[in-house]
Amino acid sequence: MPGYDDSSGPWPKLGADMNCREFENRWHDLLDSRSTAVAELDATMETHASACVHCRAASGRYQLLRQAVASLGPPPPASARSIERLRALRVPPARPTIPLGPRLVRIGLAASVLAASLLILAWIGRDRWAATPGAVEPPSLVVAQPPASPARPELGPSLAEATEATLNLAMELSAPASRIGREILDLGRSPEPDLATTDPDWPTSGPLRSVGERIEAGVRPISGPARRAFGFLLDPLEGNAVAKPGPRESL
Amino acid sequence: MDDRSLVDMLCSGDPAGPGVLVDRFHTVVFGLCFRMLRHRQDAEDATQETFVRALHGIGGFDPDRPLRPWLLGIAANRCRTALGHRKRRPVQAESAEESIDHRPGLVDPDDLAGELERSLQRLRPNYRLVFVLYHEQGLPYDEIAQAIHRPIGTVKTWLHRARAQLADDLSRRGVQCS
Repeated sequence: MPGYDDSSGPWPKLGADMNCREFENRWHDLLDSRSTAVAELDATMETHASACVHCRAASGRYQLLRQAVASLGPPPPASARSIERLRALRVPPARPTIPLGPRLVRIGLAASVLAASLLILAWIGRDRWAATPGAVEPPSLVVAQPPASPARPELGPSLAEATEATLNLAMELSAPASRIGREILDLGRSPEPDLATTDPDWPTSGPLRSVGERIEAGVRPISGPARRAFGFLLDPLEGNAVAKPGPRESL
Repeated sequence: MDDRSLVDMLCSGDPAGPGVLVDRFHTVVFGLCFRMLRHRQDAEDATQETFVRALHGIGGFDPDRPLRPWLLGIAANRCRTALGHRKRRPVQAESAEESIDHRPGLVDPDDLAGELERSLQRLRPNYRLVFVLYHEQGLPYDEIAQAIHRPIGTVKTWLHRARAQLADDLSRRGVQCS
């Protein structure tokens, strides 16, 4: 009788209303029974196996497997030492469980802290995001700073202190002294000093008298750098003229 | 003692509980590990890990469920892990695959069980696991499905494929019915 050709179609019926898939499923049912006896095929299976070479060969293979499974003995026992080790095992102590109430309080606290942190982060980042909507932030330029040396005084603060002290000194000068200084500067700038413009209550004693005498002699009273340094005593309009130094002349 | 009483005994901290659990299940657990790993020392290690994990997790075990599929499921996971470690070893002493002589005529027709064991080692681990659980441990389909966390349909498919491949392998190697 010709064997069944697998390429002829999807599981055609051969024999008494059984196809190859049903034949194989019937074999699995027989193997599911876990019987150790040789499987007796029913008449339907015998008919199909006699008509299909493929299923006849498969039937022989499953018979062999059935016998092999039946001959499969139990695995060897574990060693006595291994069993003793297993018997020495103990149930680990259970971890103390926190009651539901305190557990909920802890969870709530943790959630609150997390929410507060997120809010703070959002608040900090809000202005930054609003200032540059959609803009990609350029990479920040990292300028290497020299290590701070506590033993070395910094020039900036010292200069600021000196400037402040100078300003304070100038502010504390009396009005006559300021006026005298302005007039001295004016005298030094004008080719013909007009001493008549001096204040009537000009102090006439001491070093100022000798300064006046020298001015009368035509000597410029203050050098250029000195005039620039004390230029704040002059009026703003006059200060521009003072800013241009003339040739240095010593007092 | 039924499963529920044993679980209660273990959960209550009775020091005799682990011994009872081991006496009752170590044979099936070791049998599965040995069939899966085919190495006595590895199987004993996997068995010990299985019971250690079971005792750690017994507090969360549902006492209404049967113990055997749960234990065998843990053992199956331990065996998969051990097989994964074995694959990553740089040099294996002698794998089961290498120990099989495939030349026809060299098989022992009287040692049908030995030939089946050799064929088992050539199966995919999942197929081998299902085959051993069904045919050697005698678990029904639903308990196997519980143990390996797969649907029953998957278990049936794997078992059918395992049988077909074993039958083909035995036949190809010239093993014949006695």
